[in-house]
Amino acid sequence: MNRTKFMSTIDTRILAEAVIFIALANALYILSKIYVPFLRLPQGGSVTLASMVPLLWFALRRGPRWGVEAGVVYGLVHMVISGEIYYPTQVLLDYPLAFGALGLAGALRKHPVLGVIFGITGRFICHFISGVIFFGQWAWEGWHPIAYSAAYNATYLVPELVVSVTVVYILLKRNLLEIYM
Amino acid sequence: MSVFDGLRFRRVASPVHILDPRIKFFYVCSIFVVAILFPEILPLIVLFLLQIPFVLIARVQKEWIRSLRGATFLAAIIFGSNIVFRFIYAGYTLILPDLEFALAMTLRFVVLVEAFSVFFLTTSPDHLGLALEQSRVPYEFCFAFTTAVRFVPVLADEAETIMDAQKARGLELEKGNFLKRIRNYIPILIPLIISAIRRSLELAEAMESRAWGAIEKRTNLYVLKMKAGDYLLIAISVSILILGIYLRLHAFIPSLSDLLL
Repeated sequence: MNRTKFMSTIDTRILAEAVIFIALANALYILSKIYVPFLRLPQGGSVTLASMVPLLWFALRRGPRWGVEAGVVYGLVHMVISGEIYYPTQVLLDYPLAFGALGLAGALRKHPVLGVIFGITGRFICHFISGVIFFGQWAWEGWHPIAYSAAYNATYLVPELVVSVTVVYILLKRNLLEIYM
Repeated sequence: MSVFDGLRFRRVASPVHILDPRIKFFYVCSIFVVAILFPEILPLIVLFLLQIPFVLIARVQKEWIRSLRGATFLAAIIFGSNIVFRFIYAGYTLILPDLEFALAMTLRFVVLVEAFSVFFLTTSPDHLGLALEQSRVPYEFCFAFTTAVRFVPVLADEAETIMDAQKARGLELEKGNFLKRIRNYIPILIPLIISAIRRSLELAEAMESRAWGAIEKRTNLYVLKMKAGDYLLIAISVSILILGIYLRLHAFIPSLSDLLL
């Protein structure tokens, strides 16, 4: 019955917010499969209806620690609901770590746009390493895994970056970050 | 296509679905290790066929075939690039062992994909959450995981409603260039975020009214217990592993082209 001690470590409201925003990000991802199916790449990864925005927004609102934890859980939920797994390292790199890196956006709360760019760069690095391991494994010489992985992941993450930055910027201008704090 | 097609797991009552997720994960890992051990095609064919009874018992054939179809593009790339590489390397002649090697590589990839897809198709998120909890993952993580999975359809539904409402008011989503479309998307996102925050406040109230976090040592209504099926699966995976390692070390595996010619 150590209620006071426990409540000081975990704030129920922040946890509930994390749960809802993880679910919202997943819902947007699923909806973009329906509304913009042509933007999907065959090997996983797609331009979505700003599905990263809820996570980035939550990270900016509650700081990097919560942001990273929410990102990790988002990765697990995404993997279970609609993930595509072709290689075991992906279980770690492409889902929990990549989306956890998004939460790093919260580290730059003073400069949210830079924070968003930072978080998405973190995600890119995780996908990039995962891609290099994956393509390196199948040993195609003359087919540079590094260049290929970078190009492949950039094709969908750069448009995603543009969408996320624009949306987060507009949300900030409307003062939505501090609402219901 | 509805929102629920985007969700992968289907609730089916089958002997595979009630297995302990941790044991199933161990099974997937042992399949993976054995698949990596062998570049020859015969053991890979055996591994591929080995999983079919699993799929049939779980009655997820339709979804399983769909997930394999999703992997065909990558499989084709792996096959094609292996063939091209070997073709150039061997001096522009293609011999049967090369073809077999490329096929084996593709098959190895398919085996990995199918093992993972069987795992995710037959493991309910609730079970996975329980397994996480019993593997000593902090409870907040498990709670966030299982609750978020439950809220996904609800929020997707709400997002669709908001989209329809804004379209009915004359919001155009399919017109204009890229930036204009993003700007048009804002009137959907703002109500969505506000209502999500309100929902999170309700959730927080519900959690607190049920004394969430009041007791540090929680007990569960459902506890994952090892059953006969789980022990059977452990036995199967361990024997696959041992057999695979033994064959690798002590047996010569003939290639298919040697057998045929």
